[in-house]
Amino acid sequence: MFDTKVIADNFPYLLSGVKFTVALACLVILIGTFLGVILGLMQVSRSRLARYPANLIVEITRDTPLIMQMFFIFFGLPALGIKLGTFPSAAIAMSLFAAGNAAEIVRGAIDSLPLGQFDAAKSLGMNYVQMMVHIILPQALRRMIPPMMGLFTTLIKDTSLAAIIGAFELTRAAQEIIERTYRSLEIYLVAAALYFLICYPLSYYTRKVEQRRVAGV
Amino acid sequence: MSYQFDPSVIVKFFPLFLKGVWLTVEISFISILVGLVFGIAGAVARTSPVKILRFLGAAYVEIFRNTPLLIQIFIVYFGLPELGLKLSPYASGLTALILYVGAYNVEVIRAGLEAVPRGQKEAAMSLGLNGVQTFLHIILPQTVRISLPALGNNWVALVKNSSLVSVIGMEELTFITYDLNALTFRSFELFGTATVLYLVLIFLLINIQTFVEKRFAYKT
Amino acid sequence: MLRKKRWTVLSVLVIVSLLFAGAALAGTLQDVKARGKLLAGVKTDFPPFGFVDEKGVNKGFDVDIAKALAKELFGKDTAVEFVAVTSANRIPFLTTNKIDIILASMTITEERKKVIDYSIPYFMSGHLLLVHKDSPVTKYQDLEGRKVSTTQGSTGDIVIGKLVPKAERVKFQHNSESLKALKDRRTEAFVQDDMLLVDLQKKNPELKIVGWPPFEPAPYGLGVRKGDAEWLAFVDKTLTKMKNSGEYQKLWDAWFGESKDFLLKLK
Repeated sequence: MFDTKVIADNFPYLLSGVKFTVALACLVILIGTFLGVILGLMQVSRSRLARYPANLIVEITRDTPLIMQMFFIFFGLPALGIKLGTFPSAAIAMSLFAAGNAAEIVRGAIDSLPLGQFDAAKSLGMNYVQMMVHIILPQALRRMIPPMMGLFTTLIKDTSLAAIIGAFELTRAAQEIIERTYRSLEIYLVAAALYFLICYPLSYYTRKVEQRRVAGV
Repeated sequence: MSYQFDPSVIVKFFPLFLKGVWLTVEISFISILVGLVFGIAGAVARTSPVKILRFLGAAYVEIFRNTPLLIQIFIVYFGLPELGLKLSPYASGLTALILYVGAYNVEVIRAGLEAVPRGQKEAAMSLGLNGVQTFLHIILPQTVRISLPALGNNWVALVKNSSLVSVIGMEELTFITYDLNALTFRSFELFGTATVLYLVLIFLLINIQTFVEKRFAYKT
Repeated sequence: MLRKKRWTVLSVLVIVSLLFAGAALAGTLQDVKARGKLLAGVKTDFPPFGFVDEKGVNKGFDVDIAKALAKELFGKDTAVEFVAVTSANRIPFLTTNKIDIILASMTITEERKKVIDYSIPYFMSGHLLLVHKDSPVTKYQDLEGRKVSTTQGSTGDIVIGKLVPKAERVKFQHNSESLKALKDRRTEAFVQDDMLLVDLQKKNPELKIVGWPPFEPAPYGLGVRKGDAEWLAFVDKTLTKMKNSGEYQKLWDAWFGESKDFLLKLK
């Protein structure tokens, strides 16, 4: 009943999908974190000009399904003359999604710092940039790490949505094999196992960091 | 050729959109309720003195949190029939959503359980309540109250994740939009409308959640 | 505060969605020649028109026509890159320049003509029903009140919606998924183009085809971007040349020879 040969035969093809999943995830994590820090700082800025656009992006990316954002960028944006391929569409949608969520983590971490830190920095005669770089961000960083790593795990899993708009990665590779073999259970289980192998070490490590932080070490 | 905007399709298809919104609300609501039960059961297992229960609880959480929901949905709908289990798209979608949100709830509720002061249990026992009574009347209400903000985050995620059951033909908001797009190619108007509808749904949910949190907050 | 922020977001969204811009269009023929290869949108789940063999190689009638176009363009049939498309996304793929041409068993319909241009017809197809051997269904009228697999964006889905509105359509993104649902008896029939079902039936002997003769016949066409007259003329010229030289017939015999007795004739 359970066909192991179909797994062995198609395993290399699944691995070729893993390459794209990892590439997409890395790309999105890098761009998303970078943009997220900028957006997060804009959100805590005193200038409305910085706060409002940042809030807009954060709300839209966090309060709508990622797949809708992908559909909108892939199917909808061509109406405005912006025409992107499947992989770039997925990468851009996911980077914005990652940035919005990362920004919220950055903002949360900064907001959670005691006000005294801001006052102390000002009394030392630091300007805004100096204060952020030397006092606020290093402290906020420690609080950001566990939720950021949680976000990275979510992003790796969410790369599977790229398959829905037709970008090639692990899930799409699995679908293509199933189109030939009709062995859904075997192929999807192996794909799930591959995702698990990528995600579990990260979420295990996240928990360790979190425990250490809570323990105050 | 330039794209011709045609807002009339939004009006024309609005009843269909509303039908999709309704199903999204329905499956989200059921998943929130049943997912809470799964979360409580899993958290009890994870904190149980019985080793095998702790292991099963942990395995449930790790497997469902470390694999994509999309693959889980495909396995439930397309994979399980190979083992003789055939669920309708509706039942498959709900099963996958409940198992997924349940796994996330376990961790939240476990943290809540651990945050209830030990003295509460001892006090309840000394009042003559048995283990089950103590859990149901003393520990659980406090746990849920402590966990509410984090549970709320899971619910927002759930409403967004419910969009994925569209891939097995469950006709919720995302499915309706995708289907109309395949027939009419009015992509910008259709996906724009769906995006706004999701925003409205999530705003409503967040407002309800804030209300509930305030209502059940500890009086200080 | 938070609520106010959210409503601002909403109103800005609505304003943005009212803004619009046009899209520039270059000639595909020059683009293809400059690139040195053709980007062909083909299916991977639609034998014998477009599918992928065990080695991951694209095969099928549509695939061979793409190769013939590449040969006409560059003198070699390897100067083509195959991009996998589905019924639902092939037109967006074309209009967003991800592919130069759709070769994806696509029926010519009025609705689609508003968005893209079609080549001269190159295949005549109707719809049939794939059911289990023990099924009581013999014609599409019997589908009333029954569950039917259809594929999103396919004419099979549209046709059943029109002819048998009381049938309960269960829609999937891929033909393979529509078939899987039928095989698992989640649905009682799968409605699609005749040739696809004939091919699928051969691989799945527990199923049979009913509903002869193929209903709601319509020709297939290759799809190009709207208004790109030069490219369309090139495609039509190549198809005509293939028909006149007998190359088209050779391909037809190779892929459909076994089924020639029941296939509809292209006029």
